[in-house]
Formats: sequence, structure tokens, C-alpha cells
Amino acid sequence: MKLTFSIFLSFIFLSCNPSNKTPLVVYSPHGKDMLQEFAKRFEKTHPDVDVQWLDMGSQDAYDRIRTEKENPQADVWWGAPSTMFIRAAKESLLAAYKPTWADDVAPENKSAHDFWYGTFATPEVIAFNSRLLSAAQAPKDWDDLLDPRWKGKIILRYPLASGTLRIIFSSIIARSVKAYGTGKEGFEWLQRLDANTEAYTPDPTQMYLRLAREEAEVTLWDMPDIVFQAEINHYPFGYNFPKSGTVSLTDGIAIVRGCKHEKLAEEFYEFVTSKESLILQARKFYRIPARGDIPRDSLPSWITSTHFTSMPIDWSLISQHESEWMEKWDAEVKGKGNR
Amino acid sequence: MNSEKRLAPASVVLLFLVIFFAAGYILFPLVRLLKQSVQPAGVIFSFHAYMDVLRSTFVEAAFNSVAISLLSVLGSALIGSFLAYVFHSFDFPLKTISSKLVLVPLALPPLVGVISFMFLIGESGILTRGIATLLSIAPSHFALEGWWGIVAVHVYSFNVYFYVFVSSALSQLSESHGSAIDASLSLGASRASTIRRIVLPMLTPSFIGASLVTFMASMASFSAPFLFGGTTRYLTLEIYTAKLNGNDANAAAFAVLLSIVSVSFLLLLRWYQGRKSYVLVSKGSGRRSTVPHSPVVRLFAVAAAMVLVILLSLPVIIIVVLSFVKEGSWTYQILPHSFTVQNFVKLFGDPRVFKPIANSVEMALTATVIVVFIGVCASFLVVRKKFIGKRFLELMMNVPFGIPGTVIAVGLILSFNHPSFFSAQSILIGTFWILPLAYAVRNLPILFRSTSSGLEGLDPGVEEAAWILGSSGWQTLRRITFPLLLSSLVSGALLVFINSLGEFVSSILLYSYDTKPISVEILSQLRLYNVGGAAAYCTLLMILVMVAVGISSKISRVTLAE
Amino acid sequence: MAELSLRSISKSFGQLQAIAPLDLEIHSGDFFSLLGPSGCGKTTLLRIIAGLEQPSGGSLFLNQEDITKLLPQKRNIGLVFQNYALFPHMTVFQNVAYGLEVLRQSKNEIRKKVESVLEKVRLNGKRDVRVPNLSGGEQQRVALARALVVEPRVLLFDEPLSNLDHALRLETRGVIKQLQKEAGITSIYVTHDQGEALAISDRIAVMDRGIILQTGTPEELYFSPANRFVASFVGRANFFTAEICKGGFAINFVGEEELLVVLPEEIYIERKVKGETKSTLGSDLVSTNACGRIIDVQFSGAIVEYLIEFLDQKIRATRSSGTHKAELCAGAEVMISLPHNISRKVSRE
Repeated sequence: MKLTFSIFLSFIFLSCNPSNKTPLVVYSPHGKDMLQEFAKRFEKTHPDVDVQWLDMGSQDAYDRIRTEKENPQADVWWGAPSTMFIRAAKESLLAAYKPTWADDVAPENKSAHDFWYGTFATPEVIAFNSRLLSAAQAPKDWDDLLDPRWKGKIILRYPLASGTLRIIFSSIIARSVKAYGTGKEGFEWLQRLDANTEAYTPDPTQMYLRLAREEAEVTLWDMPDIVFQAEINHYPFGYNFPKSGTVSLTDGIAIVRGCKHEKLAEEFYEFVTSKESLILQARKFYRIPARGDIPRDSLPSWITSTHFTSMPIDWSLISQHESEWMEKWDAEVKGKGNR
Repeated sequence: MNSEKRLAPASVVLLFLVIFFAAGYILFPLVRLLKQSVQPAGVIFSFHAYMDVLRSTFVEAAFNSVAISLLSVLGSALIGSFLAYVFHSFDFPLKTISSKLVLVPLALPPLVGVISFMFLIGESGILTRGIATLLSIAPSHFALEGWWGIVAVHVYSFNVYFYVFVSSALSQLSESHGSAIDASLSLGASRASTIRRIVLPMLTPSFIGASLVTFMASMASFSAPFLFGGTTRYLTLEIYTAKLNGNDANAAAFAVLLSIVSVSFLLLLRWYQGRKSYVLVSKGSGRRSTVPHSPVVRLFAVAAAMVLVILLSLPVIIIVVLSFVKEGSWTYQILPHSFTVQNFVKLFGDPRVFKPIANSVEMALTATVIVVFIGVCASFLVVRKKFIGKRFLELMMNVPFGIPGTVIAVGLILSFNHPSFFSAQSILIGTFWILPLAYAVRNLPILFRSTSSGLEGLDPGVEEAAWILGSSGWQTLRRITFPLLLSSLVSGALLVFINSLGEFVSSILLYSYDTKPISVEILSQLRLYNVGGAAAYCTLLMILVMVAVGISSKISRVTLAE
Repeated sequence: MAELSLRSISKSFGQLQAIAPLDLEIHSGDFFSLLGPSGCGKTTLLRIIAGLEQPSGGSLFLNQEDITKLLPQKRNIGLVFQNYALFPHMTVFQNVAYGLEVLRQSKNEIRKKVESVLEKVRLNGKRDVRVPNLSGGEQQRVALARALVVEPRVLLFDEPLSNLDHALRLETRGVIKQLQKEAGITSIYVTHDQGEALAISDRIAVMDRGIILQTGTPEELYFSPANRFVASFVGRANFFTAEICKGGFAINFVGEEELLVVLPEEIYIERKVKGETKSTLGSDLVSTNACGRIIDVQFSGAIVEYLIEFLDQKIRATRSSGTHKAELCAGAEVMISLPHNISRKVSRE
């Protein structure tokens, strides 16, 4: 009894954290290592600030910001696909801010009303297990994936929970809308992909593991992560850019509307998107800058040697219909490709 | 008893505190959620979300959820009760350590459990590849996914409830009712029919209790269907999917419907239990008695139990092994080959490594203290006192178990994102308190149930005897009631602590920078594709759980001996 | 030394009246029994005296002090429970010492008192044994010691011997009686066993359905029952609708409202000899001139009991075993005789 009570008392002391630094809360999917590095660098220049980063998936970040709308906890939302930012802006979750480098970003990579700006470009690729397949054997274009040869050999992230897959799937449907005026052909295409798909994994780690452990041979994912896995963790991964053109996703940054430290948030925003920071992010953390004004010789070779064609994409159509399409996919296509 | 007639002032104060907790942290958030389901943005009142949900995937998802939960109950009942019976009836080598190993699934957080299952019985798992190599067939024939995958994970995690409930009932049974077993045997009944007609009916209350807990936990389970369900629809997944798509009203409607299904099951079982309760009145002293078995039966039973124990501990072993495997090296091989301590070195190289552990311990302990206080008061009031609304209070104490963690977390955010009467006009979101509160709400039913059944099993005469000897209400509580309840209280509190320690689904929505728990840290490691690091963290977590188990059994022993 | 008086004590549970308003005086130092079948309200009455139940009406006086509203803790009354209600997490010593510890007596004194009372109940060898490891009889004695050690003003027993075997019951009964007399504590003993009540009590109250039917010494209850229930429950008596008069046995003589009460040991039976209608009776016996048939014979040591079908009813007769004859077996026709001086009558109801 006494023991319990004294333990209880000791918490109350423990939980009072006597810190007089100003906390700056950042929601970000960029991972512990990168966040720790930039938090440390920012705190060096702002000794009275405590950068509190919460490392979570972009979908989780969006979810939290939406749920906390009445009383926002976060200041900066660093990292999410542009479509998610477009949706968040529409739901009045973001505050407008025009960064000093606003003009160096292409119009499709920023919000017309300054709610968000693109930071990184992430081209999607067809990735494969390089122990089982050579680049020549692996699928080289989107339509190759539908070949019966890949039946049961494709593993994908569960698309509803993955910004990357949502964009890829939506682009397929948008492509069909553009060509035929309806999404019907796009859904049929996805149904044939579903027929070839071995499994949808709930998180990226399982996708990597199952690909590496040869439960499947092919996946769709973003290029920087595949490079990272191959170079850092020595997983046997290779990739092909789809010949007909790939989806390139823009990853952005935004300030949370109604946040508690708007001034600081803006300073942090500028700090992590400065030229030096972008170069460091490219070299150390495998991020491709979205801005066109970064000197090419300061970037690593895996970026400069990359050449790919982009698929022309109607982003506003996608952000408008993405939810509805994904709901339809979930209800009518998922698992129905008679595997 | 005179105390049943009028509530003493002290009881009134306790009742007020319990009602405050139930109303503020269980009922109020649920009402907020209900409100969200019928009041989507800008609309005053609409059943649109319900219509929408019922028209689309609800029926399929509800059917799957209920059917899978029933299968999980069945499977858990078979395995858990079998183990309990074998451990109770037979003596064999390594019994003590094995009986501890059975509890191991509790220590494994679902998030990591899943990874270890993948390495074990996934398409590329050790067992799958091993068997496939032996029989030279394609491994994908065994991979557990979909319905059976979910059921397998549920049975793995939830058979512990049956084991715990049935074990305690069996030991109570043989101590007080050995004579019934002896009588049946001496009347010439066969062993099988003695078990069927005497032992099983007497265990009915504990079966019902464990079934209820298992069913509710299965209905509310998220990780297993999320990670193993493949494309199987499940109610908790539909909530998640609707939420991902930004359709909050549909998500809330799914959550409300799910809660209704769970609560109906709760009420159904309560009703059944009310009709078929066996009052185990013990007068005088008995002696330990069990049904004797032939040596062959004994050999097979013990062997089967040992195989089960090994199977149950395999996932933990895999995690420990993984924490020593070099990152990225274990891919196409059946067994890992290159080992390293690098994962731990890297882990301890991080100056903040102990922060999530300290956070989790602190928050889980706080939650346990809250739960013990509220749960003990509530079960005392419900079991011993009479007051209006008692049944409803009892229901409130049970309900959180049937509600997914995500739903509880969202309810808490909606309720405490602004000053509220129940938070003394302060904002709880973003503070330390919101996490222990969520853990407390989620785990209250466990402690409430264990303490209630402990109290029900307590002979009221023992307390009366103390009063008559001149012992005041408080002295009686402290020196008689509390020590006698201690074992059920400690085991309940231990479960609460362990569950809170590894809690993930509501933590991920509620944590802040200073309150990051272990489970979220493990996820961060996984997000960086650092499987070895996650396994290393997980190993630390399991060591922590073992320490907690050790301390708790010490507490029971010391207090009993003093 | 204390005397207890109950004044119009009653108790209802909802609609059910468990105890009708009743008065009872228990004298100082008495060993008083509440005797009745199960469910008659005797345990409820005991719990009211202990303070574990509040009476619905009436008041309770202990030595002229009104204790009706007093908490059980303040009454200084001891209670030995039917299932003993020992503290299972404590040793024998701790169980017995508990009542003294809550009175904040000194450690030394506690030890002295506990050891002395354990000596009396012959448990001093078991002082450090945890109570679940004791036999039933030992547990019973711990319960007794625990109640005695605090020197209560009144000691209550709730069927304390019902869980013991016969021999142990007789032995423990003796121990209880002896300790009670030594300490001179006013005691109230609840039981459904008339033999036990008759053997142990100074006075007895017979209860049925919440009413006290008769209060008196064992002899009074046995030989002068106030009504049919007491006669049957205490004396296991036979009832006749006839009266014994000079020279004969008159059927239906007794008034329509009354029955003649005959105790089993008062009935004399003998084997009917063919053709013989007159028996060889002593002068104090009167033949009923009617035959009965023995249905069952039960031998229980000192006494043999015969169950006899007689004039459309079953009657019970006993003899000391020494006078039992083999010819008195089941199926035998017997002549029934009664003492001529029986005048014990009860109302039919």
C-alpha cells in the first residue's frame, strides 16, 4: 500500500518536466534519423527552442491534425504527398505561408494560395528482387504488370493507407478518364492487377521483408526508398522506370492552421527547406529536391544520373476524386480479381 | 447485512468518484462519438452515415467479425482450457517454468508479434519453409492469411484468458468441491462423464467470463485483421478505412454499430449466466481432489501440452533471435546465419533510448494505479452494495473492452481537446495524462472483472467475523478483505500493467514528444525498416514484462506471509 | 456476566416476514439455545443480536443498555460461525490474536492471552499453522478460541458443530459447555438438532416460521410441550385422538380441539399371542385393546426404535436395547399399551 502510494507520488514529480524552452511540434514521416539531425541543427541556432518531432506516417499525421482541429497540437507538418495537402487545405487545416524560395518551385508543385510548397520529388518505380530477376526480365512498363507471368508474384502496400499507392492507382484511373472520358477502363486495369497481386501489406516494412524474403518478386514503390534499402540495408532490390512515363509525386511542407508558435514554425519551415538543407537531405537521406535551382554538381550521382519521362497528370482531378475512387476500389475491386 | 441497506458516507464518496470516471471518460467520449455519427459537418441530424454504412460493407464486415470472433473464442477455449486442465491435474518435469511460458503471449505487443509470426509461419517463415522443404511442395500452401490467419493470431493471444480463468476456477473447485468429484466417481460414473457432468458445469461461470473477454477482445482487435486479414473485411478495419478516406461520420457510425454488437453479446452472456449460475457455497474445509487418469492419457496430454507451450513461446524466441540477426541478411534462407550485437549497440548509442521505456513504465504504472483505484471501488460497490443504476454502472465498467482502441482514443480527443468539466477545465490532449487515461479506460474491465469475481468468491462471514471482533470497517478492509483479494487484484493489475506497457493503437493517436511510448518507438524503428532495432527494443520490452511478473508474484507472496 | 433482552424484535426481508415481533429474556450466565428447523429465523435472530442485521422493529437491551443501533464492532459479542469464517491468510495464532490487536492491547498481553486460550482448546501445538491446513475439528476450535479470547459479554454460536462427524461433535459439545461454564459467559446457541439442544442448554426457545413457540428448560419442553410442533420437534412425540381413562382407552374421547401427547419411550408394545386379548400388564399400564403392525425396527445402540402402523397413523415407540426381543421384528403384530396417568394434551393446530 505504502509502496504503491510512494510510486504514485514519484510520478507526479517525474511528470512535471521543468523546461522553460519553447516547444515547437513537428509532425513528419521523414524518419527518426533525419528528424533528429535537423532538430539538433535548428536548436543550435535557436537555443531557447525545443523541437519536438513526432515521427509518423503522413496518413497518421493528417489524421491527427484533422482530429485535433479544434485545438491544434502541431506547428509544422513536414512531409505528405501534395494530394493530401490539397485535401487538408480544403478542410481548412493549413495556414498560408509564402516561403522566400516560392518562385523557384514549378506551379504544379505548390499551392496557389500558399498553403503548402513542394520540397521533394519522388518518382514511382517498378521495383523487383534483384536476386530473382534482372532489370531486363522485370516488368518495364505499367501494362507489363498485367501479364499472367506475374500472377502471385506482385506484392503491394495496402493502397488506402499508402499515399504512394493511392497516387499510382488514382493516376491509372485519371489516365483512363482522360483517354475514354470514364474511369471504367482504369478500374478494369486495377482489377487485372489485383488478380496478379499476391498480397497487400499493411506497412512498408512488411513489403520490403516479403520482397526480400522472396515471397514475391515485384512491387510498386518510390525510387528514393528503394535506393536507400539497397544501399544502406543491402537488400537485393532493383528498379525500372515505367517506359511510358511514371508518376512523380511531390512531397511538401505546410504550417498547421491555428498553431501555437506560428513565427517559430515559419523559421523552422525556412530552415529545413534552405538550399544547404536540401543538399544534405539529398546526400544523407536520399531525398530528391523538388526545386529546380539546386546546383546539379552538389547532388549525388544517383539523382543526377536518373532520367525518366513523367506521366502527364491532372492533379486537381485526382485530389477531387481520390477518396471516392479509393472507396470504390476498396469495395468493388480489392480481392475480386478472382485470385 | 446492514451495509446493503444504506450507503455509508464513505461509500457515497467512492460511488461519486466511480460515476465521475465512468461518465467522464467512458460514457462522455462515446456520446461524443455517437454525436459525430449522426451529426456530420454542418448537418443538425441525419442517419445518412448509418444508411450508407449499412448499404455498403457493414453486413459482410459484421458477419466476418462475429464469425471470426466466435471461432477465436472456440479455439482459445479449447487450447486455454486444455492447458489449464493439464497443468492442474498432472505433475511433470519443468511444470513450473512451462506454466509461466503459457503466459508469454501477453508479453508480446501485437505489432512485433506480427513480424515474428511472419518469420515463423508466413509464406517465408521458418516453419513454412522447413515443412515445404521436407515435403518438397510450394510454401504458399501453408501461409496463414485471411480468416484462419486472424483466428490463429487471436487464439495465440487470447487463449491466455481461458488459461487464467479456468486455472483459478479449477483450483477453487478442487479445494472446495473435491467431494463432488469423489462422490461422482464413487457412484460409478466414468472419468469422462465425471468431467462432462460434474467438472464442466462447475466451470461454467469461468468459461462464460473468459468467452466474454475473448469475444470482446476479438471484436475490438485491430492489429490481427489489419496485418493478417489480407482482403478480409473486418469491422475495426472498416472504421480505419472510413477514417483514412476522411469520412468521419461513417467511421463513427461503424464504431457505434460495432459497440452495439459487442454490448449485445455482453448482455446476452450476462443473461445466460444469470439463468445458469452455480452457487459454489463452501461450508467447512475440503481437500484437494482431481479426476484420476490412466498413465497413457496422462502421457499424451502432457506431451500435447508441451508441444503447445513450445509453439506459444516460439514467436518470442524468434524476436530474441531477430534482435541478434544482422540487418538485411536473413532473406531466402530457412534459418538466419549471420549474428551480431550491432542492433543493441546502436540502440544504446542513442542517448534517448531509455526515454520511451521510462515513459511507458511511468504511464503504465499511472494507468494501473487509476485502474486499481476505480476498479476496486466499482467492483466493491457493484458486488456488495445496492443502489439505483447498479446494472448500468456494471455495464459501463465492461463496455470499454468491446470498443477498439482507436475509437476510444478518438472519443477522448473529441472530448478533451477543449476545456471540459471532467478535466477540471483544462485541455488534456497533448499532456501526459491523456495516455494513462486511455490505457486506464481500455483496461478497466480486466481489473473490474478479476476483482469482482474475487469479491464474489470471498465469504462475507470472514469480514463479519472481523467486525464482531471489534475491527473497524477500515481495519477490516486493510487487514482482512484486501489481503484476501490481493491475489486476484495483483493478477488483474499485472494484466493491466502489461497491456498498457505495450499498448499501441490508441497511443499512436495520443502521444506527444515527451510521452512517446515503447510501442510507438518500435514503430519508428520499423518505419526506418530497422527490423533488428525493433526486435532489440522488443526484447527490452519483454524483459520489462518478466520483471513486472516477478515483482507482482513477490508482492502477493510477501503480503500473504507478513 | 450479562443479561440480554429482546423487546418486540421483528425482521422482514421485503414482503417476507422472517421474524414476527417477539420478546425474549436471556439470563446472565445462561446457556440458551434457539432450536428450530432450517429457515425458521433462528440464524437471522442471532445475526440481529450480533448486529450483523438491523431489526425491522423492536429493541435489544444488553444489561439494560439499548444496543439496537450499536455497530457490531462496539457490542463486544462473540460469534462462532457455522463455516467458522476463519481468516484463511493467517496462522492459528494470528487468527486468535486479531481481536486483541484491533483492541490495541500490548504484544505481551496478546501473546499471554492467546497462548492461554489455545491451551484451553488444546491447540497450542498448532499455533503457527495456517488455518487451511487444519482439520475440521481443529478449525472449529480455532473459531471458538478466537471468539473467547476477547472475553465477550455474550457468546453466540451458529450451528458450530454441523460440519463435524458424530464423535467429534459430542466431544466438542463437551468442550464448549465446559469452557462456557468456566468463563460464565452468557451464550446463545443456534441449532436444529434437538438432542444437542437438550443436552447442552440451560434453557431453550423453540422457533418455527419466525415465531418463538415455547421457551423453557429442556425438561419443560420435553415433558410439557406447549403445542403440537414443540412436542413433535423436541420429544418426537406421538399424538392420539383418544384419552386414557380408568380401565380403558377411549377413542375420540379427547375434545375435538385437543390431542393426547405420548412420548415414544412411554409406549409399551408386546407380541400379540393368538387368541389372547388380555395382556400381562403391570398395574400402571392400560391396554389400548388395539393392534399395530411393526413397519421398521431401528437399532441405535442403547435404544431400539420401532415404527408402528396403528389406527391409521404411524407411531414411534422406543425401548432400551436390553429389553428388545427378536420377535419384535418388522411385520410383527403387536399390542400397544400406554401408561394410565398420561394427561399431556396439546391443541390440534
